[in-house]
Amino acid sequence: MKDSPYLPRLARIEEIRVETVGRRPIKTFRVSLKDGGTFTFAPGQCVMVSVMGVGEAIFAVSSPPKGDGYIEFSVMKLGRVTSALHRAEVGETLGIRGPYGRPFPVEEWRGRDLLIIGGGIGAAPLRSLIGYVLSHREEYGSLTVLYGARSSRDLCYREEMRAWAERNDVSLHLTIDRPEEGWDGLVGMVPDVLREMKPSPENTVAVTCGPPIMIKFVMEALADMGFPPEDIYTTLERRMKCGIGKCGRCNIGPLYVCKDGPVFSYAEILKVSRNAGGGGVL
Amino acid sequence: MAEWWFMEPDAFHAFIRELGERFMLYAPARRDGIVTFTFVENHEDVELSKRPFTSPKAAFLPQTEVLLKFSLRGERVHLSPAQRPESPIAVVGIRPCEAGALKLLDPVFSSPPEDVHYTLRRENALLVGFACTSPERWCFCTSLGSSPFDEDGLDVLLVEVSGGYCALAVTERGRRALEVVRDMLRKADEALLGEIEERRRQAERAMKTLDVERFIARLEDMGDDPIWEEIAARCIGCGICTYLCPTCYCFDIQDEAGLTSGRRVRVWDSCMYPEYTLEASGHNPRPKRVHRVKNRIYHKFRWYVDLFGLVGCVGCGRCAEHCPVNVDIKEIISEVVRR
Repeated sequence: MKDSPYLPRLARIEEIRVETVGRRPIKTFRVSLKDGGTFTFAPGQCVMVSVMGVGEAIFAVSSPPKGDGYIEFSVMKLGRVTSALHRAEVGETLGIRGPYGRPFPVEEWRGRDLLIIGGGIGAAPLRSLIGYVLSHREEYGSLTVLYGARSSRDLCYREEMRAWAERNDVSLHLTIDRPEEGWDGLVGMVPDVLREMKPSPENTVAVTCGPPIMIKFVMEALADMGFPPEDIYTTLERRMKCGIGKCGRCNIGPLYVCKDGPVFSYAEILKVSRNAGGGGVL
Repeated sequence: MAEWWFMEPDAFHAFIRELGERFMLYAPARRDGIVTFTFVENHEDVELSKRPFTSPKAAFLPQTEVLLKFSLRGERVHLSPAQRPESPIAVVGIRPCEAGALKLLDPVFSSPPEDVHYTLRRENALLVGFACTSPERWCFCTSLGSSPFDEDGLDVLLVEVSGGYCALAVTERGRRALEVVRDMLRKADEALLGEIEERRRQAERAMKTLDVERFIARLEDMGDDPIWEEIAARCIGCGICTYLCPTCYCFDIQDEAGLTSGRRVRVWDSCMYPEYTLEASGHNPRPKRVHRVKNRIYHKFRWYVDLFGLVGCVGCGRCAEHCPVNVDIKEIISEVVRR
């Protein structure tokens, strides 16, 4: 007898890391499957996480695929499920379904320079991608990362960023919205900083994730700077219930973010945006 | 050559009584004064005289269903899958358009990963159709490739004739179902066949014809047309169109829990509600009613075609029949074609 696709696997919280504090705090959860199985996923894919009795929500996997039996996902405390996750402790049991969705086409990008642009919690899927690229470093050209947040306290994965900054094969640019004492990075909104950076579209793939409004302005900025829409990628987020293309709500026109995405090229988005029925694609 | 069999009212009742022995009967019956599709215990409750308020989609996609149960004991969580249905479902009195609607839901739920909650009910079901001899003024199924006597998707088709019903076994499963009351059936004679044909012609003549093909083609460049604002200005966002639509299937998943146990349930949802797409951050990709109205029409008439090569509407007209502010899909189709 076939199993219900809505039946989660049980997972144990192995570690919880506080990424940011404040009004909308972010934590990263490291979990392992209780049945001893391993997760097979690719950067950009998502998992449906349950807190039994509270509900389910979809999160991008924020760790790179290592085949070590663990996955990580980062959660901003906003709604019911995310608040329950923020109350959870190490050792507690969660439900996990997935992985779901179309990952970043990392194989297609071999030999290209990568420009990765993130904002806030949008760094989560990008962290998985960067981790993958760093463990396949020789397959890719230059790696440039532009990451921004409202303030220095709102930047995620700070320890890893520090480690990337020390590498000579990663060019890392951090930016915050307003000047702060002791801040030696850039100041300004991500799309504006990007325009000042004037990255070359030559043999480059640009990948962005962040708040919807940032994604919109970043993709427009990249297009203005000569990046062809086929070389601009983003990963989108929607309210989701099933994660498998059935419950209906995550569509952008005929595309379902859960199964056709969450990774889309700007070319794909432009194609469906006209009749998509929304207040904009994002 | 398929054969029509005549059954007197007694034979019809014997037929559904026999079905009730082997299937869970899902049929139109009067509940709180309204004829609606429902599970019936007593075959005498089945009432075919008028088109039911609801479509029979809830037989396969219940308005509320348990997907799984869980128990919580400290750190120990135990999950138990939902119960499988004990006996198959026989839908009696399903209209041809509604059988067509199930064929539109099938690809959504059977495409991988298969939604076994739906497909298990659907695979073992028997569909005993009831031809529409007097279509409603809302009906336009003939504009969508179906017809009031369409057999497609059914196992048995019944037609009301003078003195009883005529039955046609459409599938082998349907033939076996009729076999049980074989002794009470007699082959329809020329006069009855003539009557069936006449009723078919009358029903088809009564049907409104709309140029759906042209409508679909026009939608391609109608995304920015003011018509969507005009519809949205009238729409009150009550969602009745989606609840009564036989092809709407959107759902929500919710946990219902006490301190130590609970269940995860699937419930119908509606794309007409702003909360449907509202994210916890406050961001909403379809914030305005006009976005939701347009999404609903485009989903049925464009994206269903893109995804499955099928039009996501069967022309039953329930959305128009029960809309409190008279938003009428037939008028929308005519108006878009006219513009």
